[in-house]
Amino acid sequence: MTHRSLWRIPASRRRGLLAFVPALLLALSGCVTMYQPLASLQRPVVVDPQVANFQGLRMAVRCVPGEHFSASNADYLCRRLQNLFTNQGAQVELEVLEPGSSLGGVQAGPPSPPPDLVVEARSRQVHYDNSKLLWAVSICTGTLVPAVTETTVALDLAVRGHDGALLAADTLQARFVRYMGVSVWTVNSLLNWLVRSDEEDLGDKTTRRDFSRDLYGQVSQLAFHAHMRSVVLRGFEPAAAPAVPSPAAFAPRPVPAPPPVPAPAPR
Amino acid sequence: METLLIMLLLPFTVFLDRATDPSPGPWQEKAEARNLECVRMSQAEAHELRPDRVPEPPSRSTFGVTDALICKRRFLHHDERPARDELILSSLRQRVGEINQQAGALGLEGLTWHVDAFYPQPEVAAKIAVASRTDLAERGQRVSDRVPLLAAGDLVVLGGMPPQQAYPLACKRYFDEGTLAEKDAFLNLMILDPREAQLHAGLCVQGKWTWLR
Amino acid sequence: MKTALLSLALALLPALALGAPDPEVVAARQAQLEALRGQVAGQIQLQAYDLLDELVFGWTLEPPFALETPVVLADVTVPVGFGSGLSALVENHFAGLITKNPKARVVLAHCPQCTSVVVQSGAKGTIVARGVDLPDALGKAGALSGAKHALFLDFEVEGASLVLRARITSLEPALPIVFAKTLSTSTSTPALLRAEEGLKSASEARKEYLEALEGRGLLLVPVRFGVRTYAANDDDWSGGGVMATPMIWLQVGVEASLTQARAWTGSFSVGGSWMPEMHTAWMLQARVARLLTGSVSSLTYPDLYGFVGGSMISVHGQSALAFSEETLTIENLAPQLIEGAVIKPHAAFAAFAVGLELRVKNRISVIAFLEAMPFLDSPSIGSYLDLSLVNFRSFGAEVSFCF
Repeated sequence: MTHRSLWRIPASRRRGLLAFVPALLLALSGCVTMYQPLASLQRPVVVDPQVANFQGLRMAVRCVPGEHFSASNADYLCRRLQNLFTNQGAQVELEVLEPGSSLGGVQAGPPSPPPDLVVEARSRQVHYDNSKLLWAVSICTGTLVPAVTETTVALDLAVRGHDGALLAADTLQARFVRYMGVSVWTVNSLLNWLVRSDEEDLGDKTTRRDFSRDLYGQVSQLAFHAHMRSVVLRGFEPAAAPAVPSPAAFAPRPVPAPPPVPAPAPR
Repeated sequence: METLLIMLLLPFTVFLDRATDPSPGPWQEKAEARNLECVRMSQAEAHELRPDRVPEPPSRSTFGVTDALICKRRFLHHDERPARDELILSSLRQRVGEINQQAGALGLEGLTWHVDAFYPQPEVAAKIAVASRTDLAERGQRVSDRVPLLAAGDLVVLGGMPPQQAYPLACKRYFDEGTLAEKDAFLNLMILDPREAQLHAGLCVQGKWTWLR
Repeated sequence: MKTALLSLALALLPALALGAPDPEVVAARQAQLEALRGQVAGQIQLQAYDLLDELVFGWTLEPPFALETPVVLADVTVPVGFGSGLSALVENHFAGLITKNPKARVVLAHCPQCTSVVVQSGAKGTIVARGVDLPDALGKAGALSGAKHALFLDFEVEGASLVLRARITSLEPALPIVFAKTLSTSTSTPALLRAEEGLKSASEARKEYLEALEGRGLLLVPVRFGVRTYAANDDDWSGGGVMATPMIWLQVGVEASLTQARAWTGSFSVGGSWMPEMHTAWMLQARVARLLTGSVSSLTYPDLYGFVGGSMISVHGQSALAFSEETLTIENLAPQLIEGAVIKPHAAFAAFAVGLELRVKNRISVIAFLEAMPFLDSPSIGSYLDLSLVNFRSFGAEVSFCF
């Protein structure tokens, strides 16, 4: 459609078409999210999260929502962690606390024996960057110039014993840089397809895969360290189950599904 | 052709601007990005650390003041050494310091400290022991480089025992044999399970064994 | 950078991307990895030297002994995973430091038996150990060469830091540690590289470093020698076109940067060009440049800048005919031919440039650029690169010296 022919269209329809153009461009645009482990997440892991490291152990997973960690996200993360530890042989209780409430004892019903290990998880946003100017340039160029948003999130983990003693604690930080634009999506897809190996591929799918692998590995390792420390502090007295599982328990189990990747929305 | 060239080049204007971004992308491979240790800090702190790269924050107004992501490249990639060795060695100073602080908090005065580490790889065990001895000496303790030894027969018997029995018995044997005297403290650092990458510690004083962590 | 360019090149040449990875590519990657390892070893060596400097400097301020004392360098251990070549380098550097800093009150003693394996048999059994671990056996054998102390240097890589643990053990049966020090550095701090005979404290070295940074100055005076060529118009069938002669320029100006990093710079310059019988020309030019190779200009490696700029150019003389908007005919030229040089042709036009500048140590640079002249409609000037939106009609190269 030429410039001149566009002006022959009635004004109301023209406005509709003009409004349709950015929507079409946005629809054609793709997101490419890059994941960078900042603190602790990229550390190697010795424990294998796919075998029964916590056979018969009673565990509780508590997720505490916060300012940038909604109750639904906390619930989702908690369920994934429950799945993770259940796959490793533990009996896991789940607790999602209200913001500001004290830890412990939110379950109704008859009192159950205290768990051997309590994993507490809190998430917070460390940094957020989103340039409005770049968004404007991106829209003006039909997303050929990509818009960029950047988010750094921290997951504070603490593992306590049955008596509430802190056995292990760590903070995992991840940075997500999201590029949005048709050109960057195309170039990245081409590079993934033609140049990069599967392991080196960049994009949302590999971001979820890498982040999940790092997160589950680190959480499993931290919990195992806490478990071993509790064994030593108890004077090697057996808890609910022997510290070293039977060889049969080492049969491979399904890897849990990945947790949600924070997807910062432009402000 | 020119239009295609412009389309390809436009995203690179943004990528060029972010050429120093440590996240994976066109200029940085994923493996390289994982080899960085990054900390977010205020602009003032970052300027103190890297005055050549981070300008001084403006003194009067808060406009433009921001934070900086300071990244350090690790000497060795995470996968260049066995995972457990890498984890132990990467935080050796911190771990050994915590254990020595805990041992020092027992309030044992006037002792001569001996240290040994029990780890599958001898070169890593030596590193752990040296780190602990040096740290103890720096904390003002009287430390000896001598490592108490047991007879070969003792070692054979102890080798077949689980750790919760072997270490206390070995401690008793050191004292009974006179390898350790009344005024000697023997700090042992070890791992107890092949799946863990944290150090446990126990202390042997006057033939009595105490687990520290 | 290389990887990214390679990636882009491969993306634009899909034919190359067919099939499995080329063995040559794999070999090239392995070679790159080896080069990287060498680079890492070099970094560790420099950092290790720094830590040794720090150790000996500390001894010059607070000597570990009251009097000059012979000490055996019993052991140098390198980070797990590194070869013994590094330990030889460390030993040599340490010996040099001790020799040139007598204030440290440490004298290196030669004791080959101290590091050798020694066998000692007694009533309780036979012990096989290093000489330094059995000082009484060495003492009885008279092998200690008068040294009563052994020095151990242990280096280990802990994340992004290199840690030195130094300890001196008294060579008596109890082997008491009489001196211990842990020093750590980080790759985020550039190596201080102090001279062996003139050791400085870390704070003094930092002060010198800051002074060196500040000495780079925010203002520079660039002097540029350049040449501009203009594309011939091959589509001009009128026959009236005049080929523009290349113009040689001398420019002087001021270049400013916002920070010491010199990631962004701006410059303003005036220039002149003169060719006998052909032209006299003047130019005013402004440029904004961005560093492409990193976020900070290097003191050691060349820096590549990309820049955009704008110029106003005024040409007097015969060369100006090439920039005339009219097709040159004999009628146009007649007045000038008749009146000789009394009425000189004149042209003034604006030009916008994009280019690259390769600069070494903020002193010398080589510049290449393309210029567009959107408001000049001369039939004599053709095009070097036409991108529809912008038409580059001039190409130039410069050599620049900064003062």
